[in-house]
Amino acid sequence: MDIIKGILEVIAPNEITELLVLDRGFREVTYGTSQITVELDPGIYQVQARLPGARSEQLVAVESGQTVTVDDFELTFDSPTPLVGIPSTHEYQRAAAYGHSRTLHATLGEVPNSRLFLFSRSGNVGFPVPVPAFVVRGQGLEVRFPEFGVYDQGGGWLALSLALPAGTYFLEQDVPELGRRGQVLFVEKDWQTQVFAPWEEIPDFSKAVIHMRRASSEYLDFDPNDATQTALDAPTEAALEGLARGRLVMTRTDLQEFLNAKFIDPIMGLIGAYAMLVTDSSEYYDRLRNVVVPNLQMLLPHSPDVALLARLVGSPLGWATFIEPPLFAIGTERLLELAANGDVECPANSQLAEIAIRLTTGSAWTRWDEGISVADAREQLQSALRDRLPHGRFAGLSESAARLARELGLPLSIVTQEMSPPVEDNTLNDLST
Amino acid sequence: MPDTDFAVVIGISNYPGLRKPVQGAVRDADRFIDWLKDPAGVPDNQIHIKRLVSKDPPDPGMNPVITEIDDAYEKVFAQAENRRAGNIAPRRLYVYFAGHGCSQGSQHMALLLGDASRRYLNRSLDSSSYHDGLVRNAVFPEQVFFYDCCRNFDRRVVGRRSPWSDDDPSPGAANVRQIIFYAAGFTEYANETVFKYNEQQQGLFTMALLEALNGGGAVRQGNEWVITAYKVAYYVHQRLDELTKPMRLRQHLGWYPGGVDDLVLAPTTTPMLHNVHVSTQRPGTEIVVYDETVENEVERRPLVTNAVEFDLPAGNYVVALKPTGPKRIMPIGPGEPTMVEL
Repeated sequence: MDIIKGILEVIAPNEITELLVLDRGFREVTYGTSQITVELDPGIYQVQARLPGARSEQLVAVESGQTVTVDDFELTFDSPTPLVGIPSTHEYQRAAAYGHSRTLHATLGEVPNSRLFLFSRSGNVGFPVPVPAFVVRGQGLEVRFPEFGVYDQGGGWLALSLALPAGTYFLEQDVPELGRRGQVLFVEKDWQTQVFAPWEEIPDFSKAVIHMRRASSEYLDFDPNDATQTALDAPTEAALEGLARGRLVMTRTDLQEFLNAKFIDPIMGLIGAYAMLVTDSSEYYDRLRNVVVPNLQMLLPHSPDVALLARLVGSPLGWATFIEPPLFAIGTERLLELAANGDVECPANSQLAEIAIRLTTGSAWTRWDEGISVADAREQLQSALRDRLPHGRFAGLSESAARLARELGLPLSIVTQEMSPPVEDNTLNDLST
Repeated sequence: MPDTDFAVVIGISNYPGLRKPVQGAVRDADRFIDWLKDPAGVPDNQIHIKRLVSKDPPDPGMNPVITEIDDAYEKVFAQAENRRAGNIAPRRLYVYFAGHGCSQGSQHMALLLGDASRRYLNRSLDSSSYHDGLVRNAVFPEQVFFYDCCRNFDRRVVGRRSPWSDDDPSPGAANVRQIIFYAAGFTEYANETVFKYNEQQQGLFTMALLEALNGGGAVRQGNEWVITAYKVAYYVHQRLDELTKPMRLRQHLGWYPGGVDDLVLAPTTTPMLHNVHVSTQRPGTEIVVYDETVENEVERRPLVTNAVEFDLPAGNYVVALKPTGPKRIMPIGPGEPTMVEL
């Protein structure tokens, strides 16, 4: 006898809500954003709705031949960016962000043509938290917080504002239970990169929202009343949370607005571009190649993300060799895929290579385990390679290296280098027996 | 059934090379073995149950290692084939592991073995390769895995492949049913805690799991109570939430039933029933309870006063006031409310 199905309709309170339907075995039945309509066997299902900073779950009974609608989620968007209208922010946090984004706590390097503004705030004011410590390093420069920068434990915020040369930097901090973690930061000439992180047990930069504002323009520095930032903050966070899980959480309208906003905030353009790549649509591919990527190249000429996007869409201006990682984790993943296939060069002794063998996950931003030394990580990789080499006769080492690089998702150059002396000996032993 | 079921149980508390013990792992493995013997009915001998656990100081430890584990599997396969030669078809393999682990992907886990060290984390077992190998050799048509270890992401740690990963699939490979329970979601840590009743550390997952296997995951089938995989997953999911919330830990059950609808794991005479009080101020004659299919009736009681009580095993139900009253979904289980107003 045929089962008469029922219809489940799920409507989220806004367009950026992620929706998920699970069956009684907690298996994903369907996934979407904003709205889902699906035909299902009768039964009890779990519906999950997720917004940045909020998550709601409901059980729903789907009955044979009937339609059931779920639209009463209680979700409130929250953000670490201290914009007017964000529920967990306070006036003095907004004032601190406004003021310190216009102040310089340190100037680094001979050509400090870019600016970096780190701001973290707690939504739980009144419970003073310990003063955190972190370091920003790169381009042969280093600055430590709290030696530089300001904080207010009672008010639950900290700020660090720097002038420094354009390029890629690394933020390092100790994370409870995880150990020391590194994270990529990027600054561009004539732009201020603004990093807003929630302050829970520590400032959690893995969950940061990042924006960029052009220096010396009407958009200079952070403004809690900024209309563009306010309009796009929620979609930005939703898109970043989605990218952290490899999913696209963005409507077509949002996508267009992100791309339009790139001249004010190039991070919006990068998010939009990666979102287009995730969809794998030829329509988007042409637009990326002909319009979006050339504009981003003009805005962010030093950015590994932009150079990677150019490479991915076949632009002649894409870099052939990468020594620094992209800011976005999805970018680093894509770059390592290319490098594993030998489609781009990633020198085995580059910063990118050292990070690739220690990558961690769960953030929209490229992060890695700084608690393990590069030497130890290389030794572990050698051990993994030894274990995975086939026994008996096999094709040449280069063929094995190519296969293992793809299997492990690591640049071919690293795998080739680590395979060379010890693995070769091991292989010879295998053959001789 | 007992003669047809086998188990490989691994508990590693002592990791000399990591200097980070998993205090409760061996005890948890032994608790799991207790369940295997009774009520799961796996014969209480070293032929059917392979127990591989770490040793404590002053023994240098560094065990079990990969060769011991492969050897245990080979012996289990040999015994199972012996049974088959005697016209007793092997049915099920249980695999349990408690110790350290990490993950490369949502369905991968490297189980760290006794000789692992910070420098040699790849002295570990690639769980997905073993799953694949066990499907290929198809000695057991039913395979159930329980892993009580962390699943934090580590790209470098792949683990060693199973010796059967390159074998051609056996004729029965297509019919192998695998169910996998992970103590934590991908990238999460599995946690231990000290419980007051014995002041000994125990994995939260194994604690919830054993509660489920010993009655929390019960469902009535005909006139008998049985423990099924889906019900175990439901119970452990709820119980882990209940255990981890007060400690502000992030640990959620990871479970992969594959294409398996459900699997009876064991009979039970001690189903854990939760008392539920259903009341209403509306006119009606009966209260009816349906199971998670929304169509199978599991209880029907006349409404004499304005309230009815039920004793139900963990699960999601629909409770309805008859003949025309409202319906409501009623989740039952650890941490769920026991009063329902219609």
